[in-house]
Amino acid sequence: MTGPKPLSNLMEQFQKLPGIGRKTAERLAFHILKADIKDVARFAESLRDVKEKVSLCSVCGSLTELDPCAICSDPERNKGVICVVEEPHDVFAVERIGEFTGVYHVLMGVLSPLDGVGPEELRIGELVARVEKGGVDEVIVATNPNVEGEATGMYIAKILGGKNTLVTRIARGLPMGGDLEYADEVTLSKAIIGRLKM
Amino acid sequence: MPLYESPAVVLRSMKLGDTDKIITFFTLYYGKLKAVAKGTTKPKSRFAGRVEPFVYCNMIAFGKEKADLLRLNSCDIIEPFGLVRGDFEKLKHAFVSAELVDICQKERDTNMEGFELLLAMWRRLSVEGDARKQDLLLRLFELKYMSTIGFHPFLKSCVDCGGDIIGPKAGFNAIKGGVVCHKCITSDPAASRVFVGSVKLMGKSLEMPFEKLDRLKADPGLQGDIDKIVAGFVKYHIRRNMRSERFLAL
Ligand SMILES: [Zn+2]
Ligand SMILES: [Zn+2]
Repeated sequence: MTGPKPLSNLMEQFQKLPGIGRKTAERLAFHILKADIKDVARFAESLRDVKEKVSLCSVCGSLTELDPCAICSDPERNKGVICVVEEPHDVFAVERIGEFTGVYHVLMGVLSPLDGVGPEELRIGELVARVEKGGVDEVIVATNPNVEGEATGMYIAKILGGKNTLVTRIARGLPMGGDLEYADEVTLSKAIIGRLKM
Repeated sequence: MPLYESPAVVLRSMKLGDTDKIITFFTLYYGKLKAVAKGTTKPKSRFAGRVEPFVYCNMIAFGKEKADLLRLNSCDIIEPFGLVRGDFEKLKHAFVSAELVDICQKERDTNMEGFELLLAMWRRLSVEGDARKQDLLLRLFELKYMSTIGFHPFLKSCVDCGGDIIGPKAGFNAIKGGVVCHKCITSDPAASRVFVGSVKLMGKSLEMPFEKLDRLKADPGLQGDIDKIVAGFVKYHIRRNMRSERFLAL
């Protein structure tokens, strides 16, 4: 594309973002061009801030401005229950329910044999270390309910076996509002295995 | 637009964007096919559990004749293989078998024998609780699968001199693709030393249907040999290390 270099640079940067094609990048760049200089400055500032001020909590691995994070340093949270999730954004998802009072451990991925992602590439060693320090009654495995998530859960249960910590897996089953008739056999079978007394 | 409908197994499933997945199928009628399953990671997706690895299903996909990526229309489960997915030991073995097929199987290249073999292996694995037997099943599967794609090891007589294989020890040369007799092994540094019994057991397994393989008994010595021979043979032909292989030790 021809035109002022700064404009095409900006489009190029937008286009690097996930899900943004040439057309959208163009639209966004023109939007910035027309926007108030104060808004643009604030936008630029928050881009830099997110890189400079947000890091990973050295205890649980979730995103934080302070280390340890607000959850890990909250005396009200139950340190005896650790909820294990795949990614930092999964912490936000569980926090949104507002019912979980324990703490977290972010793995930074899941075991993925076909992609060569093994335990060493994840924060599994750190989890074992937390458990070995003592005082952990329960580890809740909240990885995604797919084959890699299940494999990761089973591996965690295996290596934490014999450490006097209960390892549990979040229930897998039917989505609320869904129809039994349309459920696939894999999901339905998990729902039946994970049934609860009423 | 052509329609592809076939019994198929899911070899792998890869996230594409936020909610879609690319599913690699090994189909009975078309060999390997890749298809996009839209909206799969949403909880209410009609695909969800249907496109997870090791599911045996009837798939229907659309796409242009030479398209790399088809679009998945439906996927109805025939056998979910839940016993494999629900057990870490079985799962590790299933991953290795799926990776081997994914690496070796060209897209749209039918291999009905290989397909049936993979199904037979997962069925056997589902009900096999013994870790050592699971290992043996996997190696014999690899051996038999390699044979379906044209890599058939030569086990009847010596690849160097053509002589008979007499015990107790012989050799196996992965590069030459076969067994080396007790005389030639001294002048064949590339051959690894193995029991003749291991070679005989492998030979027998190649002639037997997979369902009957559990009749074969291998003591730890023979099993160690078979492990070494098959791993070397596979590695030589696929020219790389399988990523899932190291998970077997977890
Ligand atoms: Zn923290
Ligand atoms: Zn010879």
